[in-house]
Amino acid sequence: MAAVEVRDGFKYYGRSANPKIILNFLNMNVPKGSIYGLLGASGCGKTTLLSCIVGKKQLNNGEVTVLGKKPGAPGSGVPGPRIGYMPQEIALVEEMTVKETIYYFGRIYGMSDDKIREKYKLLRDLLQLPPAQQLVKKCSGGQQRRVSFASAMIHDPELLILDEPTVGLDPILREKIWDFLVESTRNSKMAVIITTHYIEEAKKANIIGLMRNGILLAEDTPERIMNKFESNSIEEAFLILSQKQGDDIITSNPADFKKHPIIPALPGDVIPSIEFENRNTNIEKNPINYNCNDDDFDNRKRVFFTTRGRIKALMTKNFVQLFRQPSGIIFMLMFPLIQLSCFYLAIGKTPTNLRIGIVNEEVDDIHNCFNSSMKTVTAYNETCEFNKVSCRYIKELGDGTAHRIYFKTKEDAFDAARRTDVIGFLHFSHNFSESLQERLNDGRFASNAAFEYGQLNVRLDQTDQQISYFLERRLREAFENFLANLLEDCGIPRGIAGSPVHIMKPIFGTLDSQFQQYVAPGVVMTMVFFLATLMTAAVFISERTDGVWDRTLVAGVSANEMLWAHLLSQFIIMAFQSFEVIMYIGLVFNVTNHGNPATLIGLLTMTAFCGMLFGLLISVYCSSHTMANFVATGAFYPMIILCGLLWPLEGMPKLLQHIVMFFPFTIPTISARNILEKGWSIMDFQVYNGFIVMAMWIVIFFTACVIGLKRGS
Amino acid sequence: MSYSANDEESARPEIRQDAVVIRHAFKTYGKKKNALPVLQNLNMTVQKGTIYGLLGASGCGKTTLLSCIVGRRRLDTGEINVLGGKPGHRGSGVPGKRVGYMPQEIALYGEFTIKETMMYFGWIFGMESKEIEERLQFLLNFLDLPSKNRLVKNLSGGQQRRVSFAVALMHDPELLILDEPTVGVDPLLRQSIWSHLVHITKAGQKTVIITTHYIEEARQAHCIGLMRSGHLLAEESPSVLLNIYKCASLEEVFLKLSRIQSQKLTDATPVNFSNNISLHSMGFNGKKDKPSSSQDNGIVGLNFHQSKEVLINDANGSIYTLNDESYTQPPAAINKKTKPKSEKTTECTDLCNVTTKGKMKALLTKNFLRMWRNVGVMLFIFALPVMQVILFCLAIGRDPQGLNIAIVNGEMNDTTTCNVVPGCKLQNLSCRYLSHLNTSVVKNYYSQLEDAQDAVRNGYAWGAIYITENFTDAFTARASLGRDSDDETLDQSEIKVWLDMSNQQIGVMLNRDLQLAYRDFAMSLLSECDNNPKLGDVPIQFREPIYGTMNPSFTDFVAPGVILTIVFFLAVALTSSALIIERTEGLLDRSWVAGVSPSEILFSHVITQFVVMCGQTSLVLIFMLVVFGVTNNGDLFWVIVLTLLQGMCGMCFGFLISSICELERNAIQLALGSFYPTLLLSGVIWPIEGMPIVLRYISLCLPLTLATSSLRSILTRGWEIVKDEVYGGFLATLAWIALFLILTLLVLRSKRG
Repeated sequence: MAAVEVRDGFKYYGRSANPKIILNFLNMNVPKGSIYGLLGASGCGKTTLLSCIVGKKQLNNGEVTVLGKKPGAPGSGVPGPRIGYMPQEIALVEEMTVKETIYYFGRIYGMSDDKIREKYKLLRDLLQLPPAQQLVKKCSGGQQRRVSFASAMIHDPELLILDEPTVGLDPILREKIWDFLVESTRNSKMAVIITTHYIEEAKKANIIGLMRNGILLAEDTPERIMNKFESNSIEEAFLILSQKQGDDIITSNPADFKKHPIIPALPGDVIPSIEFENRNTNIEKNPINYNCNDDDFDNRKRVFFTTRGRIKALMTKNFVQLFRQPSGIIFMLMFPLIQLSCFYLAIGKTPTNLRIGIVNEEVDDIHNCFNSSMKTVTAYNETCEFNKVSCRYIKELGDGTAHRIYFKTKEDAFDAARRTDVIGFLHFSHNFSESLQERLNDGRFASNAAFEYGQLNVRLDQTDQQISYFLERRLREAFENFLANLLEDCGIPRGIAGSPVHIMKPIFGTLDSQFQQYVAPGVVMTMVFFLATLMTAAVFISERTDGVWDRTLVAGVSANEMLWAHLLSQFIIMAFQSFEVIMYIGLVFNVTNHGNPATLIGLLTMTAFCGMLFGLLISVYCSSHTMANFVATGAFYPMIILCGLLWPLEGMPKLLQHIVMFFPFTIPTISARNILEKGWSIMDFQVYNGFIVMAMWIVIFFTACVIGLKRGS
Repeated sequence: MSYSANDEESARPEIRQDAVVIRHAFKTYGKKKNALPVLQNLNMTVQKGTIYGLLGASGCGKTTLLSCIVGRRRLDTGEINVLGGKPGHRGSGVPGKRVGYMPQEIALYGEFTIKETMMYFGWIFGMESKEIEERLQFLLNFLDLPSKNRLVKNLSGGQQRRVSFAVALMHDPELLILDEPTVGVDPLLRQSIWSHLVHITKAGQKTVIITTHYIEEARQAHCIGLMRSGHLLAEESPSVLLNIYKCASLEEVFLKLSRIQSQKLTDATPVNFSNNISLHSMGFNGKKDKPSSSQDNGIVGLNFHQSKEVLINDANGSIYTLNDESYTQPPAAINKKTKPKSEKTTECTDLCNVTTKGKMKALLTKNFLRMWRNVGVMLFIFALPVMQVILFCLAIGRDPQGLNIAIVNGEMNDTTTCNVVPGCKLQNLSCRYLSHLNTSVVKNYYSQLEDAQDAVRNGYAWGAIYITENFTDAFTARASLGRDSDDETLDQSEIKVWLDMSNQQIGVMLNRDLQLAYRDFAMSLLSECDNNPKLGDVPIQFREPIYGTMNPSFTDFVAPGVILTIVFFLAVALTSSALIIERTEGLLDRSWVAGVSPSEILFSHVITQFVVMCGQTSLVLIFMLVVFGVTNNGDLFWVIVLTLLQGMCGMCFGFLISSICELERNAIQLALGSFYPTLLLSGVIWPIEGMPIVLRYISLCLPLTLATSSLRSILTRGWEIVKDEVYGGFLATLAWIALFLILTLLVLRSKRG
C-alpha cells in the first residue's frame, strides 16, 4: 500500500495563458515503511510537490493520495497529526526553550502532556537534544536542526516529510540522522520522504526519485539506478539522465512540451518494480498492517480533537515570544507613556515666559509708577480726576501674561520688538490720563485728540497666530477690567466700560480653555490605535518569514485558529496598554472629565481593538516588515491631519469634510470630546454614533482579515 | 580564447608560487570572556594555478576564512598572504581588481538587467565600457545566458547563479573565490562550471578557491582542504586522501577524519591536529594529481583537457609548509615574490587613483537605477511629500466655516427677517449688528432663549446670542447718556452670548469674531452719524502688527515646521534602509571585495540623496508657496538652502540609524519612533513658549527646533541671514549634520573592531 501516490500531477504558476510549469504530469509512488529520497536541484519543483502532498497547495490537474485520502479533505488528517513536516529552514520560535518547543508541537497535534513527556524523553536520548531549558536561539545550528527534527517526530506520524534536513550539517550528525531514519522505518510502517542536495547520502534510502524540470526522471532503488546507467554513483546517473532530458527538450518542439511524454519508458517501468520489491523486502512488516481498522478509528479521533489544545499551545507560544523579548516589552510599555508625556507637556499649553515691552510716556521714571502712595483716581461729585492711570493698568496687568520690559521711547521698544527681544509693546502717550478722562466725561463731544491719545496702543509680532491671539485676548480682558474698576472708583456703573457684547459663562467648557484640551481626545485615540497597530502589524509577517507559519499549518492548525489565537493574546496586551494609557492620563495629567469614565474607557478600548485588527490586516496582506511599516505610517499621517484632531473639521473644504466623516477617527473623536467636555452619556446620538463607527470599522477590518487569510491559504 | 594564451606565456618563468598562504590563524567572535573561536591555529596553502576545494559543514568557519582572505575581516593573530601581499593593505590589490568573489547568495540587484549588472561591476573594476561590452558578449555565450536586456529578477535560479558567476569572472582576476557556487544547481550546469574552472586554471596563472557542500564534486579539485570547527583536518589532493584512508569516497574520508577529531577533542588534547595528518602525505610524493573525475567528463561539451606539464611542474615544486613543526616563516615564497609584488603595487595604486571616477559612476548609476525601477519607492519619494503638503494645507489652519449660531433677537418680533436700516437711523440696530457678523457663521433664529440654549446644549449650535426687545433704545440711551446711564439701560443694551467652549479653537474664534463684529458695527454707525467712530471702541487699539498680518493664520505658523519635518523625515526614511538593504542583499560585500571602500558607498548615497532631495524640496516649496500661497516675505534662496540642509541632516540621521541597526525592520521602527516625539517637541505645532522650562531647553537641543524658528523668521518676518535667530538655525543644522556623521563613523568603526 502506498503512503503517497501522485498521478499525472500538473501544476503551474502565473496565468493560464502564459503558465510557468512547475510540475509536468508527474507520477510518484511512496510505499509505506520506506525512505524515499527526492533529489533534484533547487527550483526543480521539489518544494511545490511537497506542499501539494501536505495539502498546502492544490494541483491544477492530476491526483494526490496521501495515506489513502486526499490531502485537505475533512477527516484525512492531512494536513494534521498524521504527517510530520520538517521544513528547510529551522522554523522554530527562537524565544522558546527546547522543552517548550516540543510541548508546543505536541499540543498542536492534540497529544496529552503525559504522552508528550514520554516521547520527549525518548527523543532527547535518541537525538541528543540540548538541555530542556536552553533557548532555541542559544542552540548551535546542528542542535536547532535536531530540535526541529524532534518536533516533526513527536507525534509518531505515519508520513514524515523532511525538506533537506542534512544541508550544511556536520558529517557525524548527518550520519546519525540517517541511521535514525533507517532504524525507525525498519520497525514501523512510517514512510519518510526526504529531499537532499547530497545525492550520495541518498544511497541509504529505499527508493530515490530523481527530479528535474517538474518530472521524475527516474524512480527506483539506488542500486538499480546505478546498475541501469552503469555508473558507480547516483550523481553520475543523474548527470546522464539530465543530459538525456536536456537533449530531448532541445530537439522536441517546445510547443508540445506539455504533452511531451517525458522519457516515457522510465516511470512506467519503474513503478511496478518498486511495488514488487516492496512486497519482497517488507514481508515481515505485513502483520502490522492488519491493524488498519483500529488505526483508522484512532486517526479519526486524532483528527477531531477539540481546538482548545491548539489554542492553548498557540497562546503560550505568543506570550512566550513576547515576554522573552525585553526590548519588545519596554517598547510596549514605555512608548505610550513617552508619547503621552511629550504630547501633554509640549502641545497646547498656555505660552509662558513671554516678554512684552511697555512705553509709558506719562512718567519719566517707571519706578514712580510703583509708588504706593500715588493716587490715580480722585472722584468728585460730577467728575472724576485721573492721574497717571496708565500705571494702574501696568500694575493690574502684572507679569502673569508676559514679563513687562520697560522702554523709554517708542522707537527703542519698536527696535526691540523687531529684534524679537519682546513679543510686542504697549504704548501710553504723555497725556493718556487726561485724554481718557475727557473721553469719558465728554463722550461724543470729546475732541479728536482725546480719542487719539486716550487709548492704549498695542503692536504685536503676529507671526505666531496662537501667541498673538492669546495676548490680544489677555490684553483686552485686562483693559476692560481696568476700565471697569476705574469707573467704579468714580461711581459710574461698570457696565459702560466694555463693549456691549457680553460673553456669559460658557455652556460647556471654560472661557480660558487650552488648545490641549481640544486636541487631547483625538491624539490619545490615534495613539492608542496606532500603538496597537504597530504591535500587531509584525505578527504574521515574522511568523511567515520564520517558517513557523507553514509548519503550524501543516500540523493541521487552520489559519483562522491562528488568527483567533493572536487576537486573544493581542487583546490581553492591548487591554493592558489602554488601561495604562487611561490611568496615566487620569492620574498624572489630571484631565477634567465631565462624563462617565466607563463610557470613555469603552470607546478607547474599542479604538485599540480596531487598531489591533488594522495591524493584523496589514500583516495578513503585506509580505515584508518594510512594507507593513510603510503602510502603517502611510495611514497614520493622513489620519492625524484629516480627522479633525489638530484643527476643526469646519475649516476644511466642504467636499473633504464629507469624505473625512467616514474615517475611523473623525466621529469617534467628536464623541470623545462630547463625553469629556459636555459630559454626555452614551444614550446621546452624538456619543453613540462614535461607537457605531468604530464597531463598523472593526467589522470591516475583521472580515478583510478573514478573507485575506482564506485567499492566502 | 585569447586571454588564456597570453597568460600561459607569462606563466612559464615563475613556476611555483603560492597564491594564498595562511599561517597560525586565530579568530574569535564575541567578547573576550565569552569568545567563540572560529579559526584555531589554521594553516592553509593554496598554490597558484590550482583549484582548491574547501570543504566543511556550515558554521565550521569557511566563510570567515574566505572573508579574511579577501580582506573583509582581520585575523586576531596569524599571517595571511594573498597574491604576495597582505589583504587590505594599500596596493595589494586585495580587495580589488585582483580577486573575483562570488558569494553564496546571489547578491545581485534584481532590478538590473544583465548588462547593467555587468556594467556596474566593470566600472568598479575600472574597465572601459567597450571592454566590458566585449567581455559581456563572451560571457553570455560561454555561460549560455539569455538576452542581456533581461532583468535579473526575471531569470531562473540557475541563470541568476550563472550571472553571479559571470560577474566574478568579469575582470579575469588572478584569484577567484567561489563560495558554494554549485549549491542547488542543476547537474549539467554544475558540470560546466567545474569544467570552466579546470580550464582557466590549467594555464597555471589563475587560482580558484571553491567551497562546496558536495564533497564528491570536489574530486575534480587539485587539492582539497577538509575543515571542521576551525581546523583544517587535512589538506591534500583527493586521490592521496582516498589512498591514505582507504576509502571509496571523500565523504567517508571526511567522516573518518571527523570521528578522529571528535575523539581527540574528548581526549582533551587539541594539539596541532592538522599537522599530524599532513605528515602522512610525506609518503606520497606529490600533493596533487590529475583531477580524478576528468576522465569521465568527456561527455560535457566544454573542453576539459588537463595540461600535464603544468601539473608535473607544480607537483615537483610542491611545498609542505604544513609539516613545519615550529612557527618559522614558510619557505622563501614570500621573499621570492617581493619583486613582482612591487611592480604590482605601483600598478595597483595607479589603478586605484584612476578608477575612483569609474566606481563613482557605477555606484551612482546603481543608486539611480534602483530607484527608477522601483515604482513604490518613486511614489514614496515624490508623491508622498506632495500629498502631505496638500493634505496639510487643505485640512489645517483654515478658518472654520458654517458654524451654527442660535440667535434670539427680541427686536424681531418673531419674524424671520431682520431688516437692516442703513444710514444714521437708530432702528433695528440689533439686525445691523448681526449683519456685521462674519459670513462664516450660519445664523439660526429662535424665539425663546431657552430653546437657543438647548440647541447649544444638544450640540446643534456653537453659541447662543440673546438680544433684548428694546436693544435699540437702550443702546441709544447708553450712547447719549454716557456716564449717567442707569444699570437697567446698560443691562438692556447688552448682547449676551453663551458659547460652547468644548471645542477650544472654535470657541476662541467665535469669541473674537463677535467682539470684532461689534467694533465694526459701532464704528460704522458712529461715522455715518458723523460722530467720532472711536467713541464706540474700547480704548485699546491694536495697531498694525510689527510682523505678520492683522489676521494671522495658523497655516503660516505651522508651515515652516511642516516643510522641514517632511523633508527631514523623508530623507531619514529613504536613507535609513538604503545601507541595510545593500548589506542584506550581499551586494555590499561583493562591491567591497571588488575594491569599493565604505566611504565611497556612503558618498555615492549622499550624492544620490542630494539629487532626490532637490526634487523633493522644490516640490514641497512649490506646493506650499505657489499653489497654496503660504506667505513668504524673505529671500527664497535662503529658504531653499535651509530646507536642503535639513534634508542633509535627515539623511545623516538616516545613516546613523542604518549603521546602528542590523535589521531593516528595526531601522524603520527607530525612524518612525523618533518621528512623533520630534514633531511634538520641536515647536512645529505649538510654540515652544507653551512648554515647561526644562522641556524647552531639551526642545532647543533637537535638530528641528532652531531650524524651524529660523525658517519661520525668514518666511513670515522676512529676515536676512545676518540675524542671529536666522543663522542660528543654519548653524544648528550644520552642527547636527556634523554630529550625526561623526557618530556614524564611530559606530561603523566600533562595529568593525
